[in-house]
Amino acid sequence: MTRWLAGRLLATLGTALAAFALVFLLLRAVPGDPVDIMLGERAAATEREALRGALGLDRPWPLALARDLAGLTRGDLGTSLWLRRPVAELVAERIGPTVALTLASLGLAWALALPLGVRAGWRPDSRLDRWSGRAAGLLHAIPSFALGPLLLWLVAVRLEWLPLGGYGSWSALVLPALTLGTGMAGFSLRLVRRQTAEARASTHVAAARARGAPEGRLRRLHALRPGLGPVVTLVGLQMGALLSGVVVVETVFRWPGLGRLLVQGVLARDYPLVQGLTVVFTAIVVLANLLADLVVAALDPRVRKVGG
Amino acid sequence: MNRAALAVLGFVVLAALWSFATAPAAVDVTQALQAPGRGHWLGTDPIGRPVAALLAGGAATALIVGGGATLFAFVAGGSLGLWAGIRGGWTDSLVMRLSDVILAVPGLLLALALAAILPPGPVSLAFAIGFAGWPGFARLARAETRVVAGSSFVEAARLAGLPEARIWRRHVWPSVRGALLIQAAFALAGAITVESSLAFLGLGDPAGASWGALLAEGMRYLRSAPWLILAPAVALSATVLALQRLAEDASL
Repeated sequence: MTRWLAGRLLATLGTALAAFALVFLLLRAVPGDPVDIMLGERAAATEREALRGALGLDRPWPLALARDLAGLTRGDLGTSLWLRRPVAELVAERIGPTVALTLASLGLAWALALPLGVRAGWRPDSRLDRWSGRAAGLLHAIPSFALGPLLLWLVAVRLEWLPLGGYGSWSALVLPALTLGTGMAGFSLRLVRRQTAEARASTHVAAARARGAPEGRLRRLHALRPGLGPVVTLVGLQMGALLSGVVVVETVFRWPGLGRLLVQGVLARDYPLVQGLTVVFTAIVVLANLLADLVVAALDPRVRKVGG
Repeated sequence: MNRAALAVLGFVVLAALWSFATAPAAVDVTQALQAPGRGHWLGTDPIGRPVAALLAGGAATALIVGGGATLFAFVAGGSLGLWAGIRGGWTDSLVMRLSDVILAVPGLLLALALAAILPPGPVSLAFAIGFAGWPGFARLARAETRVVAGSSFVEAARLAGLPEARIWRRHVWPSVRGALLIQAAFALAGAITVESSLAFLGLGDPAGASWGALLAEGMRYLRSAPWLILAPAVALSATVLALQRLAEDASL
């Protein structure tokens, strides 16, 4: 188990470094001079030279890449051109709000998807099943930057129940978390429903029913628990989509997290900042997948045996 | 086939064609921020352009950029995946590792980074969005190819002495194609969403209309002109939902 975990952590680091190298190479492969794009063509020569040095454009790319990768392994994510501060420092400041938003929306999504999905899957083709299926399809399809403004208009402007945006109170968290969690809720609801419906028809549930296990226990223990493994794995794989949503939702609600920082960095053409944030986002995605695998192993003893 | 979904997509295509056939929406500041009603059935924007015309222009951008991105991802990912599936060995490993890395980077982030550094315009946007999308096609094409290549009818064709190129073209590709086309419908829904996201975040094509740009504009007039967000939000969600429905129906 320890060796397996160490191997996975190493692979995580490798993927994050490879993602950095990818963005690094894309920046150089693109036609035109990145310095022109970042500073504009009328910038002073000294400023251009300084930027060339900072980006490593003044040396052959393999050397520049090696320098940056070596920095990464020491925890140096580069220095933002726009804010003139180390990217690692900025990440430390901004990661809290992003984690809070992500966890809140995952919590909301699961609070909706688990009970509803299990009930719907337990009675296929019931009215609840049909309606929750339709709702899930709709929730999954509405893009967050369409839903966010709609919710803002309805809840904050028309009904005046919640603030328009900002950060620091529980009420400010509700709308962003709802916006971000909706897609995940629709996605998870459908998965939980399918898993439950499959488990319900399986022989181990029939056997437990024949032994006289009560319905509630059957649903919770015999149908839900073995079915959750694939759900957790797929939710882990959806982490990239969730973080894409974070970027948009934080911008809509002016939420001071990593996603908003990224958009500001992109608009300011601050490439070191964008590169550094790419590593952080990628590491989060890969770590989430690792975490999902660990949860699956905890849920299902069969996986643990194979995993060693 | 899902009639409602087809109707929505047909309407989007017609709107896009209509926007090509007519002149771009004229600026008329005397008509700024008019509520939906007589004359402007979806209202007007802050510089007096009718929202209906902007919506049609947005449909054209969504189809061109989203379609271009999907086509790029389909061709690049499909051929890389086929190639990896046929060759196996280190070719296969290389393509799969590369797609692993790209899949680990959130798609919108990659598109944002590329859109920021490429010259603005629909071609750049299509490439930026498609670049994040090709690994999905590559993985699918590779998996399907490997299944089909190991099946008995391919073996029979080989035993019958058919040339290798003909086996791939006539026996393997037709079996792989279906799955890739379904993936393309899902990918188009995703690409349209990303196109609008980029425009919403301020990285769209400055010369073209976009549902995302309209939404971003509407965010600034939430109190006074909510129709600016309602129309594009409905158009975008309906289009994405329709594409997903069609893809799901086709995959059953």
